Parts: sequence; structure tokens; C-alpha cells
Amino acid sequence: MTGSEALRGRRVLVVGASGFLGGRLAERLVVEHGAQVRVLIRRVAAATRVARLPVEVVAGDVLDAESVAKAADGCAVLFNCAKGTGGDPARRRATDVDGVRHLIEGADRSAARLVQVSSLAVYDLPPEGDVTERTADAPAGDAYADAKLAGERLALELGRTRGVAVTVVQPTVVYGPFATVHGSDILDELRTARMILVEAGRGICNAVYVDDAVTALLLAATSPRAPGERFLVSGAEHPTWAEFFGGFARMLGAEDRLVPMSASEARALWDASRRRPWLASEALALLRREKTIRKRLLATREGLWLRGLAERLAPGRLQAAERWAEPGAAEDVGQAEPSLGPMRPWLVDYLAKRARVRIDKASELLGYRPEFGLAAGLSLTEAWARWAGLLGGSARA
Amino acid sequence: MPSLRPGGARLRFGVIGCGAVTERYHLPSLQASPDVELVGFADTAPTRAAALAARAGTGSTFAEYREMIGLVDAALVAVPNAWHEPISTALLRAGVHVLVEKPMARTTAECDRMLAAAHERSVVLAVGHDFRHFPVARLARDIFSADLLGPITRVDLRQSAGGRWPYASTAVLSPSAGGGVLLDFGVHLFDLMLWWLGEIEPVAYRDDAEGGVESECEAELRLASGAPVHVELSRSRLLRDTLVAEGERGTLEIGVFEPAMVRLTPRGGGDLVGTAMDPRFERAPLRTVFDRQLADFVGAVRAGAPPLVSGSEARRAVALVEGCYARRASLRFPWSWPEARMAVSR
Repeated sequence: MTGSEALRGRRVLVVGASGFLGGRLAERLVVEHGAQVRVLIRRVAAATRVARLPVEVVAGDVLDAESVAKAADGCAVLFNCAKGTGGDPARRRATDVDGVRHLIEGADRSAARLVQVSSLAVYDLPPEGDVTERTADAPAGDAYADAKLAGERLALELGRTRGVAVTVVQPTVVYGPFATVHGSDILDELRTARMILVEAGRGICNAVYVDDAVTALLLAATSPRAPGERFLVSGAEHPTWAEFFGGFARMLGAEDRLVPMSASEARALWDASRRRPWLASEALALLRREKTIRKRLLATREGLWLRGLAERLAPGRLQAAERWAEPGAAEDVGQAEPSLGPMRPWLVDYLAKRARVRIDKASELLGYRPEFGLAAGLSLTEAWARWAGLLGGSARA
Repeated sequence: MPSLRPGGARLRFGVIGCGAVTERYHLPSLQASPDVELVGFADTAPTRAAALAARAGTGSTFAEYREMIGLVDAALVAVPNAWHEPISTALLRAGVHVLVEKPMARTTAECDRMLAAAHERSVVLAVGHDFRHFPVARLARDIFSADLLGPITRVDLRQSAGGRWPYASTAVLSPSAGGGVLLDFGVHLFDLMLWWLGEIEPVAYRDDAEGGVESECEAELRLASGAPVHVELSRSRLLRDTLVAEGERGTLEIGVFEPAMVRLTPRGGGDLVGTAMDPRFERAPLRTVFDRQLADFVGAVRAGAPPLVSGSEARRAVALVEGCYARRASLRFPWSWPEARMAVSR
């Protein structure tokens, strides 16, 4: 169904293999397709999970033309799953745009195909109705959408002028084991706070389980009708955000942490929250959410000193505070009502939309058939989340 | 006794391997030590060796570590795992005292060649299990030695590993490293457990390696008393990062570092939570630990006595790792491929 034999024994490059989608793609390329996978890695420590597979790990950076050229050498397909990360917008954009230029050059030299991962964010989503590859582009102004759009345009244009077979894949809301944005981030949020359910969650979540998205990438790499095209890739169903977020809340036994609200109420809450907060309350909110930061701060000299002070002054309260700081205890579900964070207006608007992504083009030209319904996808996600200790308790017990 | 210099003279020291651990921890300790004269740096990447020599402001760079033989009394060997044995053995045979990074080697056979070479020339072979120099590690050893818990009935260790380590090369991710999270990081904890609890034998072992090096593993071990030991190590998850030992008279929870803590809960009531007070450690934990490791090594060379972690001590941890790998079963998950697909096609 995904041309299992087409990639057998072929060398392929995955850029972004230390990430969620790229990591799963590397696994499927090895296990299912018997490809010889090479991964281009910027930070070695981030690649430890993909290194469990027999992959060739090459240190380099998609921003460095020379390291991309070396990594692309001898490859039949290049998959670009790199996502600009970090606080520097120029670097993020460079990853999304300059990275593409280097990969096209590499693909040209090796006569390789390029599969460019883009995003649903490149479209101007209507409030209702269907979204297809003919839907208008997102208006300029959002840094993420701008960079993704520039990246896919450049890929297709350079592909045409240089004679490189380029296929753009635009996954929707990708979730599944090891997801961050649509996975651990949601669980972290719901474990520590309440969350607004915009328009009572009636908006449409165009969710796609990670393995369906990977299947589409593999088809894009092998299908003869893929080059020069862009494909929206979503799941078979059109669940609502209430169903999607509700699934995560149920994993935590915290359905009551989703607070239904109209879009205008949510916007009003945001406006009210723009009064300047106290540093201490912001810091506390951050600490509650960020396990790693909390742990590191508590291990500092000041953290230990504060702890020592608290031990002397108020031992009982320290115990309570520690229960609070340990996942699986008071931070978790069932304690005094947690805070309800305001939601950014663009996110309120996005979650209110009822636009449905159509996958007819991917279905017709690539033979793409999503196999994971929301229930199955969430069930696998829950198994992972429990193992990873994201539901509080067990893994850390 | 070869190359032992008269008391007071500095040990002429060679640095072989100029990766992240050398740059961040060994080099500052070597520079600060009044007992050491830095003679040279070697690395397969000449730019790394030159960068560290420049930073040290002393010592030459060598394209080949062997060129340092005859010029040095002692050497730090901090190279990829595959090279621990051949380089250490060559140095030891030449009469050079060696401090080799952990794991001592990839297999006990490699360890044995190193031990034989050290024995043959009567030189010191120390292994960089710096965890033993953490204040809490010594405190824990004292608590176990004092038998405060009574006979141990169960041990449970969960530890996250290496997510932020600034590796300078991809060698650690290569199958030539001899293993993944267990050999690279778990060996530290195995060394501590052997130091604290005595003999330990492997029972069962699973990891997620599928032709590469493991990122996750679970080991079931057994103390000499037969008490079960459960170990989970992860390069992707945040775990509890402590060891819990349950005894007939109470429970001890130990976090060696991040968190550095001990919690002693005697059966029948009471709860003592604290840490081992050590002002230097509080100020600069890893610097202090590496300073102490180096001082221990230098002291061993000068006194002709065994270091805190000798080659024969460190070999035990490698043997336990080897015993686990020999029992290796595949660690599979419902979301692995093809299990996930089978779940939806049923």
C-alpha cells in the first residue's frame, strides 16, 4: 500500500529525524521499508532515540550547504521534516527557507526526490466549509505560516527550474506517541491548569495520527504522480476539538478541566489578562508547567537554600509544597481548582473554525487511505503517555 | 616502578580525547591542580586538540597519542568507548598511569587486557566513575555499611540520562560504542550499586535497540541475598532519578545529583530528608567532583596505592552490563511498528 518495495535497500536522508514526525518516519523507513536511512543531526543528544535504529547519523545543519550536500550524497529520496525552532525568528525562517535551497541542490546532484513537509497553516482557513489544495494562502503576518509558505513555494519553484521531483505534504493536526505540541504540551497544560474549550469545542480538529501522516510521506516519496504537487494530509474523520482535547483530559481523569466558553468570552478573558502580572505569579505558573526547569531550579544553591529556610520556618507547609511539586500528587487532578490561563486571540479564532480538510487529492493521486481513527490514535497515545509518566505517577513511582 | 616522579614534582600529564567531558570538566580540574603539568593534547580531530591546548595555554598538540609516550607520566583517556581498551592498554604497557573515562571498556575481555597491562607494569589504572565522588554517594555507602535498613528486600532505580549533554561527536550513537544508555550511563549506577550493596547478578533485561544503540532499557537484577532490583533508564523520559532501597527496618531513597538528596524512613515512624552538606559541592557540583576524582588519581599514583575506582572495581560494573546484554530481549510497545498497525487492522 505504500510501495513497500520501492525503497528497499535504497539510501534515503531524513532531516529532522530527532523530531516527532521525522523520528517515526525513520522508524517506518527502516522497519517497514528496509531502506538505508541516513539522518542529519544538529544536536547529538537529541538524536539518541532515533539512534536505536540502524541509521547512519551525520552531524550537520540544514543551514550549512556543505553538510547538506554530504548528507544528501547517494540518496534516492530526501525527506525534509526540519522545523525551525528556538527563540530566534530569523533562524527559524532560515531553517524553513534556506534549508530548502540546500536540499534542492543536494537532490539535484544525487538525482533524488525531495519530500517537503509543510503545514495546514499555509492556508487561509475559512470559518466553515471545505479546505482543499485550492484554498487561498494564509495572509502574510504570521511568522510560522509565512516561513512554511515561503519554504514550500521555493521547493516547488526550484524543483521546476532545476528538474528535481519535489512533493509538498501538508499535514494537519499531527498527534500520537512522542508528540509535543499536540501531545505532551496538552497533557502538561491539563495536568496543571484548566483550559478554555472555545465555542464549547464545536470547532473541527483536523486530526491525523502520526502513522497516517508518515504513510502519506512515504507515498509522496514513491508515487509517480506525486512530483510537482502539494497534498493536504489529514485523518479519515473530522472530530471536534471537544473530542480531541476531551480524549487527553480523559487520560488524566480531568474532563472538568476543560472549560466551555464562547469565542467572545475567551477574547474578553485575554483582554482582561493583559494587565501586567506580578513576576512571582508568572514564575510560579511557569514552574508548575515546566518539570525540567523546576527540577533544575530546585537543585540550585538558591533552591536548596530556600528549601532549607522553609524546612526551618514551616516544615508542614514544605511537605505540602513538595507534594505540589511532584507529579502524581497535589499538582495532579482533584486538588483545589487550578488556574484558567487566558488564550491568545489567534488561537481562539483558530479553535472556533469548523473548516474541514479534504484529502481527496492525496487519496486520488497517491492512494492515501488513513487507517487510524481518533479512538485508536488516542488509545495508542495514552499508552505512550502513561509509560512516559505524563499522566502523573506510574513511570516515576 | 616506572615514571613515578619524586614527591613534589608535578605529574607530566597527557590528555587523549578532547570531547565535551574533557573540555567541560577534566581540563578545568587539570589546570587547577598543583600536582599536574599539562604536556600534550591528542584527538582524531586536530582542531579539537588545538582548541583545548589554546584554552589551557600550555601543552603541545599531538596527531598521534603514541607520540606522548616517554613524555608523560600519566594520561587521561577520554575517547569513544571503542578506543578505551586499545589506547589504555598501549599506555599502560609503556608504563603510563591511566585515568580512563567510564565505561572502563565495552566488554570484560577488554577490561582484562587493560588490567593485565596495568599489573605487568605496576601502574595505576583508574576509571572515571565520577558519581562515586558525589557527597550523597559516600553518605549512602555509609548508611548501607552501617546496616541501618537491615537486610535489603527490594531495590528500585529509575533514571533519565543525557538529554542535555553537549556531545562533540556522534560516536556515542554508533553501535561501535558497544551499547546505549545502559553501557554509557547505566554503568555509573551499576558501579554505585555494586559499591553500596555488594554482589549483584543479572536476571532479565530488555531494551529498545533495533540495530542501533538502546535509548530505553529495563533490567531485573538480584542481590546476593536474592532481593530483586528493578532498573529503568531512559534517554527520552523524565524519570524519578532516584534509587529506592527497601530494607526490613526502613527505606532509603537516594538522588545522587539533580536531585541530590537522601530520604531515610525507618519502619515504625519518622522521616529524615536531607543532603550531605558539602559547601564546595553546593557551589560547583561537577567541578568539585572532577577535582576530587583527579586528586584521588594523583594520590594513588604518588602513593602507589589503588584509586577509589580501580580497574578491577570498574570491571564489575562492565561485567554486570555485559550480563544484561547477554540476556537481551526486545522492549516493544503497543505503539511500535508494526504493532500499532496491527491494532487498527484487527
